[in-house]
Amino acid sequence: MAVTRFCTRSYRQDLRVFPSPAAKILLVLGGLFLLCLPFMAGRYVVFVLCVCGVSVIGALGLNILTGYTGLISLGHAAFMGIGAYTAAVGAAKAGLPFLAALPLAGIVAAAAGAVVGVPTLRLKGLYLVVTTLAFQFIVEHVIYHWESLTQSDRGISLPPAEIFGLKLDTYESFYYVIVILAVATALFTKNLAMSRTGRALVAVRDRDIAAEIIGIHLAKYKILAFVVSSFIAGVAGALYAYLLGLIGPDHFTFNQSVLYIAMIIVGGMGTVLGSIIGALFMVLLPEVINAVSGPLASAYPILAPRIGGISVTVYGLVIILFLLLEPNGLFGIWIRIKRYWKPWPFTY
Amino acid sequence: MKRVVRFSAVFMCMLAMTFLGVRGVQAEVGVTDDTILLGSFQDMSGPGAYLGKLCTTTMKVWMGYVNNDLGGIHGRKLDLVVEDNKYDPVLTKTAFNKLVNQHKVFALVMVYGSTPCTAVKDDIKREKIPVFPTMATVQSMFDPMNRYLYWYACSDEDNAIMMVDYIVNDLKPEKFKVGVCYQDDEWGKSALKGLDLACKKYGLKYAAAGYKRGSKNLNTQAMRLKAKGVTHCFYAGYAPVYAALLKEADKIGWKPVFFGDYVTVDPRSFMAGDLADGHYHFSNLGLRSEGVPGWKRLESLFTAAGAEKMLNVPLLPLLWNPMLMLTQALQDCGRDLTREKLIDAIDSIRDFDTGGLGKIEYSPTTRKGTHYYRILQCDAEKKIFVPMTDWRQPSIVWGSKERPASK
Amino acid sequence: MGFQIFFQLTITGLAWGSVYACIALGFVLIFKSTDIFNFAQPELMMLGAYMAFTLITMLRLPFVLGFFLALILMALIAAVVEMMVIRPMVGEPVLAVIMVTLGLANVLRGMTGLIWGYEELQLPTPFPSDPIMLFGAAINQAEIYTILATAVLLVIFFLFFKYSQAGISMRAAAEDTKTAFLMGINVKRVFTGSWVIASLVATIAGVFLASFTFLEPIMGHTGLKALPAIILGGLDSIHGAVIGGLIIGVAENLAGFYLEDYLGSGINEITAYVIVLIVMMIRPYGLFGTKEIERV
Repeated sequence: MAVTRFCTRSYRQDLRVFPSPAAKILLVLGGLFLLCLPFMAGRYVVFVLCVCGVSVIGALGLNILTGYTGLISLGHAAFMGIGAYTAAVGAAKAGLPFLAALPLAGIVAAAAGAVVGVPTLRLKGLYLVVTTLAFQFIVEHVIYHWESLTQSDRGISLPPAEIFGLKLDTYESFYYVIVILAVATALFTKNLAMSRTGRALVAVRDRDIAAEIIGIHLAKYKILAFVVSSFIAGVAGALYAYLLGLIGPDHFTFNQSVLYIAMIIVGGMGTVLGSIIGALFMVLLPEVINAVSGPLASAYPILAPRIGGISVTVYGLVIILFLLLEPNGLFGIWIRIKRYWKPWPFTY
Repeated sequence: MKRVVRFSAVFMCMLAMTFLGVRGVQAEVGVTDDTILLGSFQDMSGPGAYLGKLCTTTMKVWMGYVNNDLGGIHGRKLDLVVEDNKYDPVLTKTAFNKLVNQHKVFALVMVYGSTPCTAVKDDIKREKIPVFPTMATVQSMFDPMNRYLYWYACSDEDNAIMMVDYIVNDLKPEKFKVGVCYQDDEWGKSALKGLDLACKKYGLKYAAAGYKRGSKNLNTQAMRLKAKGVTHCFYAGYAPVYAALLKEADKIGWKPVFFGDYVTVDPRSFMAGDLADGHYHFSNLGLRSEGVPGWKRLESLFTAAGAEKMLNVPLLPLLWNPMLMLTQALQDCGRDLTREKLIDAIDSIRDFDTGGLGKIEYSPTTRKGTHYYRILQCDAEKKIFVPMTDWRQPSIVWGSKERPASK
Repeated sequence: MGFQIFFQLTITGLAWGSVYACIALGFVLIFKSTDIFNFAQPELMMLGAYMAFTLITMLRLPFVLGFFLALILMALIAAVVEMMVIRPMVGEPVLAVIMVTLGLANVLRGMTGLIWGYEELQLPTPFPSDPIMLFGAAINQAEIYTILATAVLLVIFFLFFKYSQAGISMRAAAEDTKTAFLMGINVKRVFTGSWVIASLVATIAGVFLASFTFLEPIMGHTGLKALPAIILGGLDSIHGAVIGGLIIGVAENLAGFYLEDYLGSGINEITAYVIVLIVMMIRPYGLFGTKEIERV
């Protein structure tokens, strides 16, 4: 029954973002669940989910650049940092309201993206990676030393976000803003992927010389990828700044960039669902390890002094094992689960 | 139908998972009839993990002392929950949220790290939870004053001023030039600020060289300070890097008198061997070699707990003194224990006796716990530090006109 | 006087540059042979140094013997890691493999913290601590040996890859794996061999770095500096990696001294990356890298 339904999808239906009724139902339920969450869960859980949400937005941005266009960037945290500091300086020093600071952060970060995108047009592969890395470190340096603007170590405190006079000074209220923006970003990315632009980007990733031959303007699409991805990163950074209330140079380091790359790889490169799952996984993994290691250390005191090293080792092992077993990441595992369930109880 | 069942099952599971965060309510948060729940976030697996282990063990020994030797506090035993923050500011916020909202602790104890602590500064104020103490060596911890955040460490700003005081008033060399080699973050920059204030007061010029935290190549810094003719140099940073600086200075033939900050009072400074001999260090703590009663008690407690190795860390009283004071304050509150009462109790303790381990004092208007320091000299052969002065303050005291507190 | 300062800075820069060069060499070796960027290379360096430390301090072996045993142990560990973790990933998307090496880096760091603790340790070295004076510049003996060792390594590798059977097989496997298989080259052994040699080079870098500083589980941070070195030299050029490392080391030191007054402290940290940016604009494949010819 399920198999035949799959086969009788019309072309028009296929083009939709959510092709099957099943997907629609799941979406509605998932949406309801997300909306009710703050009322049921404690503040700690809500805070963690807010961080997840911001990471999801950041990961989706990086996915456009690295997953779809194939331009691996180790400078994502720098773009987020630029966005965050723009919002912070705007809100704290210039008194910009939340609804103005957020797009401004995106625009400034997008401009930075263009600045990075242009010189890197000629670079491929690892050369590109290290150039983005150079950008990351230079931005870190500038943030740290431009004291008059960024207040360096002391960081910048942001006033709580306000939308049309409604003060969002609790994690629960800010949660909704993050969720809405995350959903919007996911929809935007999915749409982008299925559009002409998205296909052009993928062509650039797969066979850029051939793409150029058939008329895809490489420079235009590469820069576009940088600009769009950086805009999203900037917005994510600004949300981060409002969420934390106080940002400093240590929030946007090389390690963060690596974390975002890990998110999209572990999640499944080049897919929206993969980026979302990957972001959730990488944010929740340390929390889960912490939640387990705490009681474990109390139950077996001999482990207590060792627990730090153990948690780092476990973190690394989980990543290795995941990728060994399923190089397509968590998304690959999800596809396998779907394929297994679809014809169930038949095996094929 | 099958699909609907499947989806509902998944939905129910997700619903169930969210009840993780739901907890009951208590009279005063973290205090029950027989327990006081304390919390802490420590770096257990990040760059400062060594300190994390030390703090956790010290807290356990202290709790054992209070629960077993003293019989608890008015019939309540102490309990502790520790979260790992890997020195990361965002993970610190998460850990803080978990401790305050999920574990619902009464107070936070023994936290450190300038970046992590700065990240949760405002949250501490908002949640009104006492944090006793933070050892993060940055002035913003106590200035401007946060009613709930207590600070106990050494201020490099104080110590840099004391260095110049000591040179001008005690050492009195014929010619000298002061300088500072500092770790380029808020901690090190406070030393720079202190030196600047002192030099303004005495009408002196100074030279400065910063190095990035984590860097081990101090060649350029040493060469610059040597080129500017520095004869007395303050060092703000960690002990192993201090040892590296000593070696580098020796290599290029630069022989100043070093004044190391309180963190350099550490066995790792002896990684430089004889080169460390004769230099000065600042400290606000009593030394094990002095054999004071406070250290004797530490020795018996830590040995009984099987943690003798920690007795080799000269900074141990920095962790212990506040815990002693906390014990006193908790006792002073009596059976009716609340967070506000605890703060008032801490603020009213005067002339607290730590058994020779150092001085610690707060008041309703100050959260800076250290006011008196000593200057020690390093004896590399016996691998100890010897006090050269009595307990003294810098000539420009924090809070005075020349060094006003921020609003 | 001015020249003496310049000379001193250059020599110390060369010593640090040699450490970067060795780490860069390890990266390039693995990349050249297997097309994999090994994120765990700095951690291999750290592990090698810690191994040497244990052998020398706990087993009280003389320095040279301890050093050689550490090399052998690291070679074994690298071979095992390659066969268990990397070999199964052959053919999978490159980024997935890179992530695996990242996970590996975490595992190595965690285990080092577990076994040796997080405190900084001192590696006892036979190098006397008095510096040697050379044209008015003082050089640490440990630094001299580092520079010499790197120079020797450079020559050895040059000869190895040009004239020896194993070296030529490696180059062949890197250039075209399928053809290499057809020609009878044991490509699997080449892959393992590249990891083994990379770990040897990493251990040398680690031991020398520990000799003039100290050991700590986050030693790998210094290894990050090797990245600009490889890009500067060109990803697939052995001598490029070494020269790149030396250039970065010297440039950093010089910039730190002369430019700090104008550009703020910490300038020596980003000098490497600024150089990378400039070079990438002019020569997108590095100074010595071969231009990739892509066919559609």
